[in-house]
Amino acid sequence: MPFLQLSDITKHFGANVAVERFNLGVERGEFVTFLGPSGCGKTTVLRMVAGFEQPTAGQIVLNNRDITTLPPNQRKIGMVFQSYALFPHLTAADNVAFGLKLTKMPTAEIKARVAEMLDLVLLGKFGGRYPYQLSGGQQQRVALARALALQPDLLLLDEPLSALDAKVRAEVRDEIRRIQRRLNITTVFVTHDQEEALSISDRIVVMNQGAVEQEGPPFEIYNYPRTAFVAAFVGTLNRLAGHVVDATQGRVRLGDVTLQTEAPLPHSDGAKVTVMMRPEELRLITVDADVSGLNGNVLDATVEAISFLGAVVRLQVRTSLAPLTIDVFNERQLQLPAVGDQRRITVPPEACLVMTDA
Amino acid sequence: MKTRRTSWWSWLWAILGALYFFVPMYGTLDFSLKMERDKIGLLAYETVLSDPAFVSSFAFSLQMAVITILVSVALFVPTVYWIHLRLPKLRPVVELITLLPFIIPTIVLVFGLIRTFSRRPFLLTLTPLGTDVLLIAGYVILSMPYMYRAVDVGLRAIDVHTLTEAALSLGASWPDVILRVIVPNLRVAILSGALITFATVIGELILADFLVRPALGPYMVVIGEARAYEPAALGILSFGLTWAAMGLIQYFARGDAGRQLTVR
Amino acid sequence: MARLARTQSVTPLVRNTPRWSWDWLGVVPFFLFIFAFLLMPSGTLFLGAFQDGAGAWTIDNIVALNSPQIIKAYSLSLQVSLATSLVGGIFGFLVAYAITVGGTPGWLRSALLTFSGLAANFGGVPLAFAFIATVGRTGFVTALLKGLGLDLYEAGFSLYGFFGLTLAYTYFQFPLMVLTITPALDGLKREWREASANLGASSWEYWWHVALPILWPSILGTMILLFGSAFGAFATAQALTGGQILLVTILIGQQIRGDVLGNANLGYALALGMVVVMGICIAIYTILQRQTTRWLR
Repeated sequence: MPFLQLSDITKHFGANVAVERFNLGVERGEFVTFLGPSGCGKTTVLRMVAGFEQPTAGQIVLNNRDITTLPPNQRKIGMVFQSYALFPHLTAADNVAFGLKLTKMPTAEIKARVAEMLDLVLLGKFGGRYPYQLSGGQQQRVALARALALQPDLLLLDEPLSALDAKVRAEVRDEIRRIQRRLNITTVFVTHDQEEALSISDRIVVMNQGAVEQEGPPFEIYNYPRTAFVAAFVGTLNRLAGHVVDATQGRVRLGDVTLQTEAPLPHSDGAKVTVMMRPEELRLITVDADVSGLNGNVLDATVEAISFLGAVVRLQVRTSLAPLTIDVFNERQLQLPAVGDQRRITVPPEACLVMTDA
Repeated sequence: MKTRRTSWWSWLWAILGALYFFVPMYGTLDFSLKMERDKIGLLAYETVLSDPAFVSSFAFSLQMAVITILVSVALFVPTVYWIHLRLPKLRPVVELITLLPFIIPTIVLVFGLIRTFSRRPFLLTLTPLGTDVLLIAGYVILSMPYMYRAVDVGLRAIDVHTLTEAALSLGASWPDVILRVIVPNLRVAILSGALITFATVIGELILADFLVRPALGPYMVVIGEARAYEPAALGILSFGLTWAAMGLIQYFARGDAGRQLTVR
Repeated sequence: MARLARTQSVTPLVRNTPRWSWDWLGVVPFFLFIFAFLLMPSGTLFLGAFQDGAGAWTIDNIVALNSPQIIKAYSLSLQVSLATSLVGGIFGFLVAYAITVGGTPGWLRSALLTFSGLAANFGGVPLAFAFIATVGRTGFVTALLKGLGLDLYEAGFSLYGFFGLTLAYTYFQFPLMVLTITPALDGLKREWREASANLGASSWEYWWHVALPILWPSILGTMILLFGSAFGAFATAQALTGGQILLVTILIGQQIRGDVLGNANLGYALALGMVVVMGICIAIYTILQRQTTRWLR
């Protein structure tokens, strides 16, 4: 049995269904992320694990202990909140010591553990500061130290980075991952930010409308989305509507163009489908380039806008089908087109995700 | 269950709070209606309202209240505006000064006023007019914390700098800026301040009593010592007046309810 | 950014000339008024407190405050203020607790807040009238209890003394507490409760180790404000007891009317003493207030 097992968890708020038959197993030491838009039920699941909400139905088992109805103060679960939730009247050190003091641990031991925890989050010298004397990033690190001080079985992180500036966010994110690896603590992280989820997790659970859309490692979620929702929510995407003309050969008709996709397709001929492509998988070539051997997966395009984003250059182009977004990796030798230039786009067959229209 | 116990405990205190508020009100109302033996009637109110001494003292207090409001608006609005615009460094000093009426009790203030202005070179207490000047000055001081706060909050809510610059760049003179731009934008703040001042002045006892002016406060004390039912009627009337002033303030400035308004 | 933008936009028209400016002229009327009607009168008393009848400097008046009559007045004033600020403070806190965290319905909360706004501003002579009509010798509640077989005045109660005054002052004290502490209770974040539960605290431990310490400066600060408010009150006491209860304020009143102390300068010292007590109250209040705003920034 997994270290944390959620079985058929359901939560109703009056007539509203927040979570519907949610199932998940998390192994010891694993870092699992719940990813989804606001209102998808990810925070509700987390709060049920922490004990702040009671499931309407279902069971939660942690470390072979059924904790479904256990009060939150007996669960041995550490939690970090979006708003830090540090106690404003206590210093950083006293915040970390809060839970330890309640366990009647000897003072000397508390002192040692607090120092160890503050060192762990790189705030060894800040123990005497009050929360209002700390920056947002520092406050959140104290909150992390406080949650870890009791050596909980499970660490819950509820959008801990959302209140931070972009730069600090990446810093604290990496630090959370470093500490999680070092302590090998089982962690559930909740976020609506796909970039955050992709960069930090062992495994991502994409949620929508109270149910799991897909779960898997970041690489799989990004490259092999199983539903249109996952494909659209994780990363940027071009979508083109069309229909299947030859399923066994994987040929799809989009307007006046026939695209070769990875064959064969699980659709019947004539089925209406949406073809999705990641911007970074499309290639931009010049009009006079050799296109033989590309199976006709070539579109004429006019460059409409160019935004330089640093590592990539994002182009908006017009084609006979629809406007498309293309990302080109930046390098010094890059020959950037100008707005209004004619170019061609090649679509590698393996870049095409074909989804049945709902 | 735990919530049920909490809720029982909460209800107990909420109800006790409501009782503490209502019982004296009800007791006073009940008392004020029983001037005639064995009969519920408005006789106590009729007696009070037709008493020439009541009418004249009420009129006097009303007059003092209006003058006090005019003086304090004329004194505080330009001053606070100017501090916001040009002298922000003075703000802590002025804030401290507006706290002084809390530190100096009214009885001490009136003591000082009498001792200072009843001897040379500032002899004011010899004539009724001179004493009224002192009375109004005292009232302005008493209501200063509330008037200052109202105007200050009002000015914080509008962008004083931009409004002033916009008006000046459109060719307005300084009086135009204050009267046509700032004051209209402070209407609600000034009105709240005025109502608070009114509530402070209308039943005030200490200043009027010790300066020996025929105001409503001293009249009420005399009635309280001499009569039984009329004071209850006066109590209900004052309560109604406070209620009206509070209601108007809440109506004009939604949200900023509460706070203690009058100086005791 | 905002600050920068403002300074730039301000510079052209609303500008301080570098070396000398006439800006201060704008606040002259205000400071003249304050000087004439607040600082000068207070100054007269304070200087008088350190002078003898002939105008020579002395601290005899301050020393003379240590007389049985004055000590008694101060101690009575302190007792009344302490009693009403404690009773009003604790009662007000419990009512505020009931209408915030206590889970009573919303209409009760808005009703009690409206009543509190009203009652906190109801004082002076009319308040005395209301209590005389309610628990005076022939008052409504007195009669009601007599009907039930309990004679309040036989049992030693009197509205016209210490207990009555405490009862009457509480009428405006506890609503003041409700009004100031309700926002503080609303300001207790749900996450603090959850974080403390998450760290193993029981509900009781949450209140003892988190909620009350966070609220403490607000509670104490408001109680000090209540204390000062009762300490400086005069009108209710005068109207309720006819000036029979010898509080410091009543004593000063008598001194103004007819030099009951037989030494004008001793009266000034008496007033100075009041201002010192009130000043200490406001100073502590300001410090506590700063503490809370810093925490909750």
